[in-house]
Amino acid sequence: MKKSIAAILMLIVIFVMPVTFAATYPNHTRDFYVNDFADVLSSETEQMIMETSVALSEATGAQIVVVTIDSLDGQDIESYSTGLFREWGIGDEKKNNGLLLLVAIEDRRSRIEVGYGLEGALNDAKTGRIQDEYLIANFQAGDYDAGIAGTYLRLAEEVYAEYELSVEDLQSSKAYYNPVETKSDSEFTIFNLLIGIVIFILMILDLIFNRGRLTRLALYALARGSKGSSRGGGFGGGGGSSGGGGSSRSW
Amino acid sequence: MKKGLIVLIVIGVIIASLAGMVISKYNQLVVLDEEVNMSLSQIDNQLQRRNDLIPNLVESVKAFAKQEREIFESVANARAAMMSAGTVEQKDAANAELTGSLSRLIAISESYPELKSDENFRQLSDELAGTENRIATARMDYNNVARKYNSVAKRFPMNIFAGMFGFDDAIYFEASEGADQVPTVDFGN
Repeated sequence: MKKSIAAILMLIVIFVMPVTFAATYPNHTRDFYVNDFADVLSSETEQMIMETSVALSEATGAQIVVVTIDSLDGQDIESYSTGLFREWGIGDEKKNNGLLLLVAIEDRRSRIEVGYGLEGALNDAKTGRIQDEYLIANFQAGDYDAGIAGTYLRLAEEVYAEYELSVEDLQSSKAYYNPVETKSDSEFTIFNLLIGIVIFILMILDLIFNRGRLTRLALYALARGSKGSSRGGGFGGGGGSSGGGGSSRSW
Repeated sequence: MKKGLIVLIVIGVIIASLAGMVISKYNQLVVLDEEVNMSLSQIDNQLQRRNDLIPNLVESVKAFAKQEREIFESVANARAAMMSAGTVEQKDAANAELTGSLSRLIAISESYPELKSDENFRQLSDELAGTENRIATARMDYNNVARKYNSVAKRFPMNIFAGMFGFDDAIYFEASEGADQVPTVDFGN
């Protein structure tokens, strides 16, 4: 009996599994625009990328995403980056104006992948030249942080030009990005303490006289609430796609 | 008498449900057929784009490596074959051949340092590599849609009716998987 259930489950798994991309990609971070899996970026660079990308996305829907990984696990960087680009849905769903800077540290390979909508602004040759000028030399000197920051800024500049925005727009729209949870961890005041005590007493009363119905209800509402808001807390892809445009380099 | 009626009703129900199935699958096939054609035209766009790139690329290589006649010839032949290819199979074969010739063309830059560092050549080979990659992506997308289409067309009940309605099998675009290596030049050093 158990065997047949297992067999049925296996069949379901086999048939439901999508055939499109065999490889699996990491989930993006809450920040979405910066995914420093290889841990080569300074916090200043990450902050700069977040501020710029968030402002740009708010203004135009264009999304510039930076991903660093240790290894491609034998896959070629072109198919990996197209797959990742599509899985994360970088860029606006209609405009397809996403941009991905992917760096695989151990493989010594980098790639700029361009969504359909930005191919006019950033043709393959241009993305190659940007890597030649800003990425390669820094990487060869071992300074990944500077290489990525320079390349990123150059790309952002191109996208800003495409949407006829100036660097001033970029500066002034920094306010869009509020670093996640900057609120100092809940100040401990007498007022908070009093509220805590009152809630505790009410819970005890609820447990004694009401079998804890209200407490359960409150907990349930809290759980639902946090489920709903955790999605809004981070950033995510807009559903954009790429047809494989861009260029790759090794260093 | 009553028995005959029941049998008739059962047969009627079977026929009706079969007809319903065929109609819904038919509609599904119409949509998928459209998708297959769209994906195919995506491949065509990129093949065309590459064909347009080739003359410039060849010229820029010729400027530094005139004597590599044999490669220029093979590129020219493969390009001509590509342009005259009509069916999916022909395009698939011509594409594999052209990709092979082009990667040899790009590879000779390794023996001509001046060519390798030429700005124009670098740009063109980036464009070529990008286009090759777009072709590879478009092929993969096409094959996925073709697979979906075929799985509907070859399964009951459409395996009986697909031919009748004029739905041919979609042909996969996957000749010589190894030959589609995107030509890359290591500009890093």
